[in-house]
Amino acid sequence: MSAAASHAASSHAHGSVAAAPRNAILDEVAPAHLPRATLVESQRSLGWVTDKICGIIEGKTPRWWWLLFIISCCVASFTVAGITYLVATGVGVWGHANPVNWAWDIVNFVFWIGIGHAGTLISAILCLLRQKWRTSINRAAEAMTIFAVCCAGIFPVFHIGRVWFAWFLFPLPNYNDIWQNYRSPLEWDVFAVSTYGTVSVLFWYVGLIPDLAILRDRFLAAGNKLRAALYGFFAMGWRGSNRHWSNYEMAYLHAARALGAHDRVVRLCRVAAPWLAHHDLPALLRRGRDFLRLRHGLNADAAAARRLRHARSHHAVSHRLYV
Amino acid sequence: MKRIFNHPAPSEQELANGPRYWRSLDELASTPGFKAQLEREFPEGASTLEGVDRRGFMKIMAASFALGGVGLAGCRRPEAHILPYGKSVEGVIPGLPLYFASAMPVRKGAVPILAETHQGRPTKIEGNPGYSAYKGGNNAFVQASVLDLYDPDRSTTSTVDGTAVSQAAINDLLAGLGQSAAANGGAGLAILAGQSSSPTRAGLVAKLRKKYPKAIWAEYEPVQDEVPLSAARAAFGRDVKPIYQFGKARRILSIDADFFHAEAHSLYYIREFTKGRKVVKKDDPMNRLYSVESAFSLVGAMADHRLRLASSHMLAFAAALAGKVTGTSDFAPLAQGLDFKDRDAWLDACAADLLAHKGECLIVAGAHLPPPVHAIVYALNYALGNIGKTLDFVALPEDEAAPASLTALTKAIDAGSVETLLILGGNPAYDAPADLGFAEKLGRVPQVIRYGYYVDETSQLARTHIHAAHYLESWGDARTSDGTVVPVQPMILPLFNGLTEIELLARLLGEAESDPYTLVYQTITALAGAQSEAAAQQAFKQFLHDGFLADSAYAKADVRFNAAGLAPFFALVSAPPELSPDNLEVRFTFDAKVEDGRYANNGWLQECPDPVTKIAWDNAILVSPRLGKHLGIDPQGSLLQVARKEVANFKQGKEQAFIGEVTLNGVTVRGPLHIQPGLSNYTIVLPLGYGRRVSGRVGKGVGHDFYPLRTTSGLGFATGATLRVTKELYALANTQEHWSMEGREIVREENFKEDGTTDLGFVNKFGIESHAPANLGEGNSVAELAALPPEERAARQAVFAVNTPRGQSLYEHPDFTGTHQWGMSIDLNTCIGCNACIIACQAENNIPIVGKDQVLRGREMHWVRLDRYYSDGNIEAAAFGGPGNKEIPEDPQVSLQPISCMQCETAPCEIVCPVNATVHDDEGLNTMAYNRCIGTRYCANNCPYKVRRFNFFDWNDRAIDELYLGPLGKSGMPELVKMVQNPDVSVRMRGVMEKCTYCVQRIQQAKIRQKVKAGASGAVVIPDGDIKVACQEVCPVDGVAFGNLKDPNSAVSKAKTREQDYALLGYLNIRPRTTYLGKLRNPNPAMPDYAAMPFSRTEYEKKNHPPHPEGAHGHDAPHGHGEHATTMGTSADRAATGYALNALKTGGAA
Repeated sequence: MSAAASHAASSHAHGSVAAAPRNAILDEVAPAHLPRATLVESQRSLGWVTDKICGIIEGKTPRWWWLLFIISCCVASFTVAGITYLVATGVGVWGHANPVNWAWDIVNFVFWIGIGHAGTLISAILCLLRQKWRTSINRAAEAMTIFAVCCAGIFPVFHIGRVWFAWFLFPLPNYNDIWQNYRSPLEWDVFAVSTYGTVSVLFWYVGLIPDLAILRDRFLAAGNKLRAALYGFFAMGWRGSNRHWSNYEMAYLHAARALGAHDRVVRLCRVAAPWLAHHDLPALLRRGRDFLRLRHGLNADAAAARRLRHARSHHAVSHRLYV
Repeated sequence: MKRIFNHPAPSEQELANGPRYWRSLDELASTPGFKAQLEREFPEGASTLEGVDRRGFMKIMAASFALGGVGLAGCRRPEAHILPYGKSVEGVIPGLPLYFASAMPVRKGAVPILAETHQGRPTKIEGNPGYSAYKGGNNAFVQASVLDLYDPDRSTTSTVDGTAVSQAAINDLLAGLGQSAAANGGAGLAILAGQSSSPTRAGLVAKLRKKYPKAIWAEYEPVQDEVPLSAARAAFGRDVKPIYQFGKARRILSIDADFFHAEAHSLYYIREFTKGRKVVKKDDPMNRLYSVESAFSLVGAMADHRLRLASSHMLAFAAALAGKVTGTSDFAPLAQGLDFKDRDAWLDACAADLLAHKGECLIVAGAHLPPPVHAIVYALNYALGNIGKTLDFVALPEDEAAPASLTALTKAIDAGSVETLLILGGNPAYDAPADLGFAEKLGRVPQVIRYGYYVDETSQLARTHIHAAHYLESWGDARTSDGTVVPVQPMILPLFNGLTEIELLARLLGEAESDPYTLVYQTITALAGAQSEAAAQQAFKQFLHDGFLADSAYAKADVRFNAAGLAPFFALVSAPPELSPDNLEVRFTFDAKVEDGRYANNGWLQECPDPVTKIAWDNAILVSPRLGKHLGIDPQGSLLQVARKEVANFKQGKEQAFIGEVTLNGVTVRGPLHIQPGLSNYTIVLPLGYGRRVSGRVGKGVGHDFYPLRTTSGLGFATGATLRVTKELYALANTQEHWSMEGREIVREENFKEDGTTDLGFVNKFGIESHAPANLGEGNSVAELAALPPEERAARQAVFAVNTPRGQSLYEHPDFTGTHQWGMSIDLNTCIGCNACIIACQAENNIPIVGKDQVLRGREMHWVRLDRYYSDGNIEAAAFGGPGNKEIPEDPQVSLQPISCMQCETAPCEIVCPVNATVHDDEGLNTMAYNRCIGTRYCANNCPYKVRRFNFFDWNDRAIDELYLGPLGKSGMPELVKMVQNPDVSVRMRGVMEKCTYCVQRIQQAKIRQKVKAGASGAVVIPDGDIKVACQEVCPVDGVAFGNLKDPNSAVSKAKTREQDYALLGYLNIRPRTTYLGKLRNPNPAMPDYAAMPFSRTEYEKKNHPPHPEGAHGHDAPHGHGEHATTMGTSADRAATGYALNALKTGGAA
């Protein structure tokens, strides 16, 4: 489906615009057809672009980069120091209390997930909408997503009272035969964030494969065998054949779709939870099941559906966007 | 009871050295054996065991503890009864507690207790249920007393000029004192003691007075908790003490008497009073309580009619009432100057009500009030025919000569006639009346010897300090307030070898026998009238077993009222002062947490919020809303405020109180100002007991000291004070930020109707549940269940306890398959809010304290919380801006509600825990697997009652002032504090969630007991009443029922089938296993402040059913509110109830 069509679908989902008759004024003013902007000007060849981009990696890392890197490391070391103090002393240093048991930890988590979603939006959704200009920024956006997910992951992990037992959250076989509580939204947060992280990495990595292959070839040509071997390992034997490209495009699109779909789930969790928690406890308790029913098209309890109306509208909009 | 074992006779060596353990390295280092041990290659006992008896072995064990820097041996039973477990002591099963009867002495009374000991280590105090007056009920002070035993800050050694001295040196000192006193008849010797009811001490004091006739024996207690004898002497011509029989009284008038807390024998009064509040059927009688008070006490909170009146006006009030009751004008001159709103109507209606219940009513006056008030109250009770019915008098033992007063002692010091002053207990340097200047005068006494449990203000001024033993490590005796003789048994050998008071006195007297056990034995067997030694032994054994001496209460005295005796009293009375912001009355009360200051170093009590102000770790100058407004300290409101103006300025949940300065007679004290609704307008309340200058780590410098204002002429209250507000702010750790129920149906209340028309099912006819769909399935909505006859309801309840109907839930709920189904019922109608359950729970479940700073952050750990709500009926339907919302109520009604985990059947906390750390067991308990908990706190977020408590820091392992230091601070619980922990309950580490689990350890022990008993018979069902959970056991009003819901005949099932039974937030369909019985008030329709509905109910109706002018939403329309109409009472009083709210009379008096 083209980008225009998906726009129409999304408009339809919102209700009224698509159904309205075309405004007569549009025929009258006859808006001009604007050509798409040229993405690479001056008729540069692909080789020139490749040289330009690979030059960044092949050249010497400038001094200012190291300087900024060290400054960034210093700033990031606050995290290490803060977490060390937190774990050594107790979650009490975060200022929570009863009944406000979560505060900046959940805010920071959602903040970083939001940053991650921005990267996903830029990269995956522009990809699905066939916006070719995205290739100039997608790598940075995807990297941002991955780092943001890493940052987001810190907060749910370290907000718990006994972080050294965080592995209790994962369904690992154990002698006591205790399993996780799959009705807990928090457990699903664990799965959601880890899935999001995994898919983000996959998406980033799949997109990277042809570029890794180019770097492999160039380092091989330059005689740097170690780097060539490393890039070669990660390039997974990419040869740029038609079949490779065909598989690549399918994989990339699937990864993009998975990411987009996941984005939706996380957003639904985040959006729905506070509203329900504040307003209707039983609905919160039923949320897990209702949500599954909705997703599977079953006729859920009417009251619960009403409560989830807010969430479902999200579902409908985004669903059409991706098809 | 404790068994008497045949001990091997001590060897000569033992007799020479004394059977003592080493208490310190210093002491140990001075013995040659220690030096020898130091040179040994192998640890102690490796070869010395040979030929060494058990005591020798214990010594070596003690030495090894001392070497390890521990300083204490672990398990230390009282020496007179100790036996090695190698011989398998009968009755001792390692791991199971033993209970011994004892008593906690309190001034002129005592609370009989059962002390739970684990291998010779007392961990928990229970009331002695055999003592029929208290039936096992006790209070927060008794519960917390066990913590004092293990207080790391207690005095551990006797000192002279700050240098530790041995016990032998102290014994020599006392013997020397005795010898010199014997030589000169005691001239120059003065002894100042606290009050005591011990017959042994009384005997020793009598001996002392005989032997040293010139010595001064003085007694002083800052708290006056018994009615002054002079009133009885005037009214009846003899020294008799009143014992109130609240259980027989149907009308009670309390004149500034806080008989729930401040009066001696209050546990009996609480119990008897609430007997008259147990309304099970609608034609059951209910007593009516009128309370006239200046401060806001729990009695005022319980009152059906409460009149705010300054303490200095109480005499005029009593006189005015006496005039109305007796119909004579004898009292008219005394009643001059009495003024309050609707004065005559109030007095007329109250007097009429009392007169209508002659012989069935009771008037009590606070012990702090001057004798003339008590004299009038005696006259009133006499006129109402109450004497001998609701008011008994007991004769005090004849031999008790009155001790000298502190004033007399001070005069003797001034005269220079005191050479040696021996201060036994108390803390007069801190709490003596300020005008005596006692602390300064101590410096003029050449030799001051202090015997005390703590090194405190008084010890600092004494050259010699003798360290005392705790009552749990002492042999002694005492009498309860009604005179019953009770034993004080040691549960453990004195941890620091402290001295008991009777041993000290015996040594001072140079008695041949100074062993307190023998002294007590002699006293008791004499009191029991045993003829032979065998009978004496048997009587003593029985005494220790029962925990009291049967029929030893003071004899009832036959009194004859003599009106003429009162005249001299009244001649001295002057008219009450007119109070204003420039002439304030100061009322001194004893803090609900630290009492007169003696519990200042007890962390459990410090952290237990005051039942009315809800302030922990502090006291405050309490001012009335009107005075607060006058001073400009009333809160201005905030965005977070829901509807009502609050009673305090809260910033981020922390009460920011202005510091005020109270000046009285030229003396100024400072303290934070807290607005307290319900105070008399120009009375400021100063709770005493805080601001200790010398105390332990917990109590030092906490709160503010108001003793400097207290003089001998104004021990209870004084007038002429002024109050100035400074700009300084002070944070108060207030645990309840919001005080209004905002018209929600949290505590459900109804007025009792004496004609038997009370609708006890009112609880289920309002609130969201009354409209909610049937959560338990078709035909089982709250309204439908409420309409069923009790038997049918009981039957369904038993079914629901086992089957968990799905109702309209999406989830299927697993059925509960356990043998028992636990449940609890709390009677709000009898709950007086005394805090005992909070501390009992803390003691039973190893709940840590967190300190003021953490309470300010809202992290207190109490599993039971006592919510206190104010309501005045003036809430407006529109949340903001209604005129009634702009003022702090002056005459609120108080509703109290204890809340702990409700053990919801469909618990919301369980669903959200990602790691299954909180799960249900098959008996309906919402259990906590502490080892599985990783501390996500999701459960606490999802708990609608907010009863889960999180260990934000390592409360147990870190000092409360070093929580933020993390690993840099000291780690580890002090050895002494470790000993107070209940070994049946895990001590939780940081990062773990905790909460009430219905004392699951007690349930498990009962189950094991029952299984052992059942054997092959398979009768494993625990009989009802076999398990008492900690809060239930301590409750002085029996307000908590706990047991098996599967058994329709259990006490809890019966309580739950009562019509008043309701579930808090029941509409959430979480099916709490703890439910409440609705509260009843019994106002008198003839009173001017009568309101047809409790104020909280008025607020509910105003909020949920605001009147509609056109009747568009009228209640006659059939739209589902029909059931409400029935709750509004008969059509006759409808006009005054639901929808003609402007007709409500909510007037009050100032």
